[in-house]
Amino acid sequence: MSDKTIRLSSAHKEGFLTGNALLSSGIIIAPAVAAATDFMSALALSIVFCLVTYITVAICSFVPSKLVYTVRIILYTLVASMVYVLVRQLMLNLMPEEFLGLGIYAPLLITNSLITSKTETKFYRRKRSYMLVLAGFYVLGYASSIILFGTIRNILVSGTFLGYKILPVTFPSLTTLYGGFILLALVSALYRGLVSYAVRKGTRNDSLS
Amino acid sequence: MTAFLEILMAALAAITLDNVIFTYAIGTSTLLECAKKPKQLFSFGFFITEFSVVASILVYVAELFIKDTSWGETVLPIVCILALSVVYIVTLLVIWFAARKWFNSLKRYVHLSAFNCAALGCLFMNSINAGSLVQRILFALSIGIGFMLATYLLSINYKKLTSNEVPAAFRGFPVSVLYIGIIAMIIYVSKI
Repeated sequence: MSDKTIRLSSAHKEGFLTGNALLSSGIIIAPAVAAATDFMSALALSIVFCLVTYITVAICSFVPSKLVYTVRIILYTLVASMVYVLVRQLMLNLMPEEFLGLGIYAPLLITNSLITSKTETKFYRRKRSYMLVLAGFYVLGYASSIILFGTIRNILVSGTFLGYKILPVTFPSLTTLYGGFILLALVSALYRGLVSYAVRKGTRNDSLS
Repeated sequence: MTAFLEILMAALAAITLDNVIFTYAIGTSTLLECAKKPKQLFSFGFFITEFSVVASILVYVAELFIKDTSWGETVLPIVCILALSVVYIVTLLVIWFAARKWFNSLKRYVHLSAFNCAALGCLFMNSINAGSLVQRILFALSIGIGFMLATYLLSINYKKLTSNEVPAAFRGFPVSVLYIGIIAMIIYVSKI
């Protein structure tokens, strides 16, 4: 395998599996628990998150690291809020009902930890080309996990998915905030268990070969 | 005395039954981080309260100029970030000039309290509720104090939640979220 392939694979594994923002690291919880109550709202949330976070991270990578931390963080969040204003207009045309249903949880994504924390501790410590790939995998990792979470919640709450009946029983209380917390805990534990098993199996296969 | 008790009961309800962590999930990630070190509870709580209260006043003033415009709602997130930025810089300057020997230890809390969901969420909720200045300040106070209470509730059991007795897949984040979910459920039932 070439260096480029190895680095891509490593970034993919980190963003989607071991460093998954929602299910492994437990950051940016509020929108998932409170707003991703069904598939469509999870989809709307993930689109807003992807656009706001990735565009902000890409633009702010040009902010000189010589500036003091305070000024850098202010610039990051200010850029994020400007990007959000544009994304808001886009979403109001694209899927207005679902977007408005997100309430304050959509603009709260301006101060999500990938922008205010991971930029400084992880992304901007790498070369820009690799950083853009790594940030992309982190963003997609969060977006896919929130869609997965919203889909599971949708199925458990209504017993259906996109009009097809899937479950004979329903759990309507999972639409509540506490239901969201409890479901997130269970999905996260299951996810971490599976990732840990996959990593152990991979290590065992490597040592055998 | 009755009026004082009524205010006290309202304040207690605001930080327990209407606690933003347990009723809106706002600031949950910050809470999980703060609970790891209970010693930082008051520092974080103080700065989150300060940011929420002072920025609420600034946003209230800004809203007087933009609320009747067609673009007021659109630019509100930018206004909120600018208000938090002003409080952020002023807070750091005040600490630098008034308590320079504690600057290095306090600046970390200021950095983490400035741009998080608890402070920003407070500003958005205040704008949506469109209350008076006093109502906004009281709400901001309830967010900061409520955040401290939520952090305390999590921190007292944090060691148990991260101990080896908890199955590996559940240890740490999942069981902490489960714990917060159970408290949120108790509050939800108490309000019915």
